[in-house]
Amino acid sequence: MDNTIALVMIVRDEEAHLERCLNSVKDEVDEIVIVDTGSRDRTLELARHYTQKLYTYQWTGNFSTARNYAIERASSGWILSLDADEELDVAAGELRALVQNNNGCEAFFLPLFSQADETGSCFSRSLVLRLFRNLPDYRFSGRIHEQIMIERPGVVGITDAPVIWHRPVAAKERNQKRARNLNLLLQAVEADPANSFLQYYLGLEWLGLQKPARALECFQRTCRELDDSNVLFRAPAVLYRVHCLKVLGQLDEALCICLEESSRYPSYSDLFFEGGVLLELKGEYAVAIRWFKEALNCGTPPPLFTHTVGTEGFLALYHLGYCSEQLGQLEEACDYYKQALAANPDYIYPLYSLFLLERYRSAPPDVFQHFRKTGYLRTFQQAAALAELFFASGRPDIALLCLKECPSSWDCRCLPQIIRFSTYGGEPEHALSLVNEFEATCRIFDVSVAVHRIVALLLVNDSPTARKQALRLWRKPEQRSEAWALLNLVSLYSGHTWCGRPEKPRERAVIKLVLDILEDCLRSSAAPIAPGDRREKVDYARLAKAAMKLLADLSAEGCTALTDYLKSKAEALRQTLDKQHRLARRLYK
Amino acid sequence: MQNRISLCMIVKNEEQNIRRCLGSVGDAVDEIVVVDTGSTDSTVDIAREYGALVYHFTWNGNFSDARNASLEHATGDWILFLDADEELAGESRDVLRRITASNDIEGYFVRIINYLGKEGWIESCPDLVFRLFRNRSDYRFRGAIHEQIVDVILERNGNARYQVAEDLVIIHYGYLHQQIETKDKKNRNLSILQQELAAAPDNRLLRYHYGVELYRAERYAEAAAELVKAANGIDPQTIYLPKLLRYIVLCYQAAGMPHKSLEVVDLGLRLFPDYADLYYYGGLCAMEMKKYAQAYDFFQKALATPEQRSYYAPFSGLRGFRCYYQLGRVAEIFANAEEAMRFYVLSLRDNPSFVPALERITALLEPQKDPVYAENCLNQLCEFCTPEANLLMGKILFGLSAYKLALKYLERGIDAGAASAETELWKAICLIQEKRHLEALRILNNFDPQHHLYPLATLNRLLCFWLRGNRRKSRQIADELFAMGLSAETGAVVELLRDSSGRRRTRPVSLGTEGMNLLLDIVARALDLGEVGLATSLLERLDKGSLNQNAGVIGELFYRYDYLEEAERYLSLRLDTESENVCILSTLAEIKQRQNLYTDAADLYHKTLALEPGEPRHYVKLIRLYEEMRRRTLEEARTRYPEVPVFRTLLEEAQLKTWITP
Repeated sequence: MDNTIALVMIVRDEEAHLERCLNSVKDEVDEIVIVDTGSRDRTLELARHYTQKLYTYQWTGNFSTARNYAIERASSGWILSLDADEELDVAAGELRALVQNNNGCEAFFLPLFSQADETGSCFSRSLVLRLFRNLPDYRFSGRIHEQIMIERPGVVGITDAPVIWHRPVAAKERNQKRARNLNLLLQAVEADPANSFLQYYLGLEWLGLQKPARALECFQRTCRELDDSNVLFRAPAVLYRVHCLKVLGQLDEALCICLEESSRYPSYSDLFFEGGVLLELKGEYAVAIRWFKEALNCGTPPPLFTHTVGTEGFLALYHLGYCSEQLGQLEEACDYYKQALAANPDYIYPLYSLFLLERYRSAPPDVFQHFRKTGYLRTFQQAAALAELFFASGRPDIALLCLKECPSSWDCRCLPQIIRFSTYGGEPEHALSLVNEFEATCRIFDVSVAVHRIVALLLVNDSPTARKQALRLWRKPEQRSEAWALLNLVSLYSGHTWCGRPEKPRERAVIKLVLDILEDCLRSSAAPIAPGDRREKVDYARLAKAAMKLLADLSAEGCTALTDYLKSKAEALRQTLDKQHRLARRLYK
Repeated sequence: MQNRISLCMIVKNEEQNIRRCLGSVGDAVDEIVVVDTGSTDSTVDIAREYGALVYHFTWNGNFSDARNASLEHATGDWILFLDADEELAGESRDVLRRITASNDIEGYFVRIINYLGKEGWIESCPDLVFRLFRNRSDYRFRGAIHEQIVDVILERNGNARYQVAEDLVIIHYGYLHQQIETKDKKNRNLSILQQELAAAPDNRLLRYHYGVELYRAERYAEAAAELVKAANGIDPQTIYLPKLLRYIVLCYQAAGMPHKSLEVVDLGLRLFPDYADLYYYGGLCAMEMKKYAQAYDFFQKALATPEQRSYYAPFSGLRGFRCYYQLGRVAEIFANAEEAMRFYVLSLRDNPSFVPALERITALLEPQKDPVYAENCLNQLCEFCTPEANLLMGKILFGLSAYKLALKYLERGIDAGAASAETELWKAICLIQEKRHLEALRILNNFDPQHHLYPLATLNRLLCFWLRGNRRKSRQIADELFAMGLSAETGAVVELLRDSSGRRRTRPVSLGTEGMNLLLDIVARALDLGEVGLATSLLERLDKGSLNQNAGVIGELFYRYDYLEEAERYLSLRLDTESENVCILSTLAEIKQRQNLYTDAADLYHKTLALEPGEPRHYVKLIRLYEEMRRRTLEEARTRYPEVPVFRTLLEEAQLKTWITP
């Protein structure tokens, strides 16, 4: 049997991703076939570096015919079908070994991982049929969401490696595609109204267009019409159904479905997790805890079940922490958050909760030492998050320590943050020398660095230079609002008056910048100065006072912004009290 | 069935009590059997007066043996057992007859009210005891101390039924007396119990008593361990289980393990969800652990509990004045003076003799700043009808340096004839602070040189002249004092007073704690009189070390008398050496806030918050600061932008809110 492999792709305007995709797989296949359906960018030019088998195909609005056209151009024994925004995570020789030892399989489901949230730490896993013998029967069908139809189930294998990674789609790009997809799907449904799979895809599109009621109908049909031989579709349809009801506010109905389906799929962690989330929304924390624990017990669901990684682990643990916290079981909450972090250090949210809990119980330096020892400063993401948290709770000095702990942090990516922490951490001089370093090595303009520099100059009482720098900023037309705000801040700080209202369109930007500076000044003052430290105290209070005066003098909008800000400060403190003292709320409301 | 009743007692030297006891029983019983274990007073004669059959029994260190001796002589169908310091409450006699007429009951638990009697402040602590049972030859007491008969009867007669007779009440005096057992007696009890326990290690009840004895001996950790052992696997129906649980809570708390206490509280509340004492002590433990909200919740729940069951043996006030008092403390932790005041007033209403509540109320009224208002409030709250009440109020006010008002109450008390040398001295001090020097001197001159307060009186005579700037007299009295022989520390302070002109350049003075306390007292009195110059002149004579060391306290003193600048100067001085002193940071913040230096105040509050993130008051103060800043901004905005009406509305809202919580 011919066990050579062809990578087959259809592409259109994919210059941004194509190379990454091809690089991930080029050494693992024997042939690359690329069919372009009308690119207007450099896609073809890039593809040429990888293969001679480049074809163009007149787009007819049908994905299947395009893909089948491409397959027919391939001469190898197996077809691997990828999209340009995907990558194959494959060990050398792994793919060839898979097809050689095929155990009579003629097609394989591969796991597809795609990002499930913005942080990049949360993934969902599903199975897709992307590797199959190059036989005339095995061709795509369906205008959109085309599938390979294989009638004999016995010849389809499931493998857990290699893995396809799907790059997250930017929201804008997604929305552009959506209208097109919906039209294609509606046409397909009209042609084949009994097709339950099409209903599933239609549901997805409605959901994407934020029409949960319509999506719900589609998913209901899918769930009703498909049986467990199509669990690949039915399982996610159940979850989407729950999701739609949740969005529609019908929590009890959603919960009923979770209950019903959980007896059908007793090891489907996603289902228990969703049930837990619903109970959490209803405020039934104690019961929610039971559901999340059940999700933990499930372990990873079988491969055919579309699965969000972590519902059987770190996600459930995070929610267990949250529910425990709501029940006032703070020790348990801490424990769960720690377990969540241990299970997935990239999933950062538990760290925030843990910080707030610990922060309330011990002094910041102890919290820092504790986190350092526990190893929460090892990844850049965690170090940066903790730095921001310490800064926000008035300890820029410790924020700096967090970044110093993490070896990869002293680069251009993080210098602006370090400059900010130094400016407000009692070391404006140091900040100024870092600004020079930044300008010398990074050679990019960063408006935040320019702002921090002027603030630092004010704090070291070098108003003339501060003024000069602000005027320099004024020369950049797009930075005029910042420049205006800083020029006036310099005036007020030095005891002069300000120079009148800015142009109306600038006002919002001015207010925002001044509020930011005010906030940083107010929170930074808590950094303690060691006993016997003769270093002159940096007078943040004076700068804060100037900022407040600027806002109050600026305009009625400025006043409103300032009073709103002060209100929010008081409110934030009340919320902090709520964390520990909700039961005694009467005493501080 | 017959129901003749025998009252049985064992006594020794009870002539003070036995008349009350026997008198209360009257003709409710048919026979009185008194076993005397060696009285040397008139106990036996008094007993005979009441028709008692008196027998002698040689004390062998075993209570059960003595009690059983009395049972041997009893001929009634029922036994009622009383101690000499107990009495039968009036209505109980009829009850006694009624319930002994019943056919199917072997014994009754009856209510006992323990009076922890101090005059003017009576606290009761009800409990259940087993004191009424059928007279049968095989029902005999067991146990050397904590003699028991309940389980004996059950062993002998498996069908025996007991009932609780709530309306049969025994009143017990002198619980307090019993508490003050000598150490020897405690140790003796402990060793007897230990021996008994060695013989019967599975006897829960014995272990419970042993644990309680250990608790009384203040061996808390051991006590907790024994009591936990007694509680493990116990039948939840056991009548003493609620008390046992409360003892465990108390033991852990006293042993410095409030978290363990809380665990037991949780467990106990699952069994007895209406047990006020557990909520109350849970609240105290939560407070110790700085879980203030939980404490608040516990106390509220204690207040909400229904009338307590007798076998809970509830301590008094835990559903009332004590609980309110603790809630007041919690409110103060949240810097909520208004709520605190409300709770303290509720506490005092529930028990007008509860001094701690009165003390906090008085302090919150700031009587030193506004004596008229404080007096009005106090008079509305309490009736000061006895001389003692007036003196007490005077003493509290005196402790708060509210001399003007203290003088009023002290005088009323003294006029009503409740004077002591000490109160006279307080009065003199108040008079000095009111600049009524002649009257003060008249009192002070009256002190006898042999009186132990004489030196203090003399010192105040000195102050009387020193505060007026009479240097000659000051020197003269100072020399008098020196002639009496003073400690080095006191001597140093008197030296300062004698030589207060500062004309002579002397070496800076170094003072220890004793001298410093005295000096600070004098500084406070000078400030109270508005003599800042005098106060400062004293402080300037201190050496750098003493001054730095005490600059914090000095600054607080100046702040108390509203000398903001001086206060700030001294507080900042202290902060130089101790930058993380939360009290000082907090006071400085208040000063800055009063000077309208809001961002500086915010700065300082932020520091206190960072240093003590678990203390709610820092948050509350900062919240108030931000609200004040907001009000100020709105005020300015209203005048500057009259065309924008929303500022006025917002301002009115904000002001309304402040009036509700000042």
